[in-house]
Amino acid sequence: MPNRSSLPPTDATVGEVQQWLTDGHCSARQLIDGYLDYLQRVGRELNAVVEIFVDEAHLAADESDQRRSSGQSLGPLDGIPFTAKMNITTQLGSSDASSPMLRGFKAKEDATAVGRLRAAGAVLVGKTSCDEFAMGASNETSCHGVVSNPWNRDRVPGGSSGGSAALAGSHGWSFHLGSDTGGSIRQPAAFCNATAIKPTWGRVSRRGLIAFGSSLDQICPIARDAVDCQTVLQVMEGYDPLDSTSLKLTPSPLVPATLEPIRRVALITDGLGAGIDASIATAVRAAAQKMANQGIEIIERSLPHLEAANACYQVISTAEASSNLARYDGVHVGVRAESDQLQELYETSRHAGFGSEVRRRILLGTFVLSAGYRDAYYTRALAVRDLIRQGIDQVLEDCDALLLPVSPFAPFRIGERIDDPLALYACDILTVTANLAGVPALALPCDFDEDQLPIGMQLMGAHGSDHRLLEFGQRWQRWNDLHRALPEGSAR
Amino acid sequence: MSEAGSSPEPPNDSEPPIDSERRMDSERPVVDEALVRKTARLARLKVSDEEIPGLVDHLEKILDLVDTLRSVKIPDGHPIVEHQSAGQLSQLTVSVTREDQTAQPTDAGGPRDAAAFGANAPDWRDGSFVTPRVVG
Repeated sequence: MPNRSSLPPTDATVGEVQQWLTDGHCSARQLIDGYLDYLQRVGRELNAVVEIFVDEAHLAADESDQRRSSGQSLGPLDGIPFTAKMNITTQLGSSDASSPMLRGFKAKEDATAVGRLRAAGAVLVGKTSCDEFAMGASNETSCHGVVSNPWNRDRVPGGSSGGSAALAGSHGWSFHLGSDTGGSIRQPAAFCNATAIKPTWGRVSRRGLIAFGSSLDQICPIARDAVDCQTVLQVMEGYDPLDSTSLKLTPSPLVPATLEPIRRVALITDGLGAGIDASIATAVRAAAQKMANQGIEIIERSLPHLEAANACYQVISTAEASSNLARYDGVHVGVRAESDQLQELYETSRHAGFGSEVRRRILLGTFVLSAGYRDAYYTRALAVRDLIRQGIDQVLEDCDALLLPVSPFAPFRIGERIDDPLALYACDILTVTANLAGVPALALPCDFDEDQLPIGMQLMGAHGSDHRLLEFGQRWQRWNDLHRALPEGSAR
Repeated sequence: MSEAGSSPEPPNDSEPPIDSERRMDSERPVVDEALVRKTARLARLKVSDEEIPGLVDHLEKILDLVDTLRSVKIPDGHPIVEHQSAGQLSQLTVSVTREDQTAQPTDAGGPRDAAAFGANAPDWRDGSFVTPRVVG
């Protein structure tokens, strides 16, 4: 066991831990040992972590200590532990997207984002559970079992990045890589009292992210606070020749040269009405008032087509998923059901390898693209998506960011919604808009409800305003301590 | 397929489309066993008899949700609708393809030895993916 008196406080952020290392209170090796210990105990209890890389993490930590002692530290992430979601490829361990289809899949390369973080000295300590192929909002469709919410272990941690959020919400020192296609980093962050950003589409390379909906997917950091999210994003972001849709970070309309502070925020009133828990609407209104007390100008606005956004998302995300998941055929990779007929081999392998939620989505996606229905569904959804993007642009002409809740309801009980897919899809109604429009969205702790369950809020900004949002998030987190709170018992 | 290249496409299939009475672009299709089986075949997904009622019910419900799309008034002549219907790439999108370049095996994303492709394959022999015999 490491000498715990030399380790940082459990709630310490990455920034604080880096200072702790610099000041010589502990070594990276001690820090990593302490974090591995936490993963082995609490991470396993929550079922958040699937694989832990003890030997490789020790080696990387020792290298970090050698760099530090010779004055060659690689910067703010050197020696800091991190995990990657199971749908993000890593050379270490397996990358199965929590699907039986890919059980045991070994990637040849790190995802570009993972590679950049490791090159900056961050130490990959494990892989986290998620919903199968990132399709879910409760982390109940993972082939690795249900993950518990650290704030109440009978509740879901949210999804699909439930494992990442359960860790980020219960312990400091570290950051975690998840992904967001329709809210998959923000909703778990809200459910577990963590901070996370879904970057502008294209800001972070998708190379190595096992594809779900390519025009919506982004790799995202989730951590204790907005400072840490910004530090991680700065290392990951930027053009990658292996993802031709990644953005060059040279000044352009999508990458502003200067970052004006956010001064005027639009409270989206459609996100506070019918279908939204009263406690959540009240908490977000109160947050807007706290911002106003700090000199932020708050206006109220309606967001056009908010209701149609979920329908639009269902069509586009499943259409893209049906195409992306066509590669799992029982021949090239993954599960194979034996048959002497090729067509039957495809069909039975895909039946054996995909869970029921994934199959439902492939079916819908195939339907909306099929002859006779394509124009009525897929093409219409593309047009509505364009109108949704225009609607956001319109509201942003008048303000710097949009404020709305993340989830319409509090973390629900394990098992409560899993048999009703539409009840699960309702989790996404306030988050999908950012993915459809491609804009960044930052999830921040907002309050706790009467059951001591976390409530999250999100800020959406214009394309490329990621760091403006993060700077605002840092101000918000100087005005209150909500993000410092840890669940009782998590720090044993 | 006229729309090739503009968006994801399900695998081509030689079966005729659903009978013409149900092919109504502007109205709700009849969701029944035939539609589910046809779509599952396009998706290369086996469905068991027991799964059919649940999938019919689910598709019915999800199409209720998706019908919210019809509440959005799309301006006449919206470029996406125009171009998609004509089977063209939308002019609202930008192509980011680049000139072809050569890469070395040591480059990230560069050419790999064949075995690297086969390492995760369920059946890989003599540098090939193995399938059931399809010809002869």
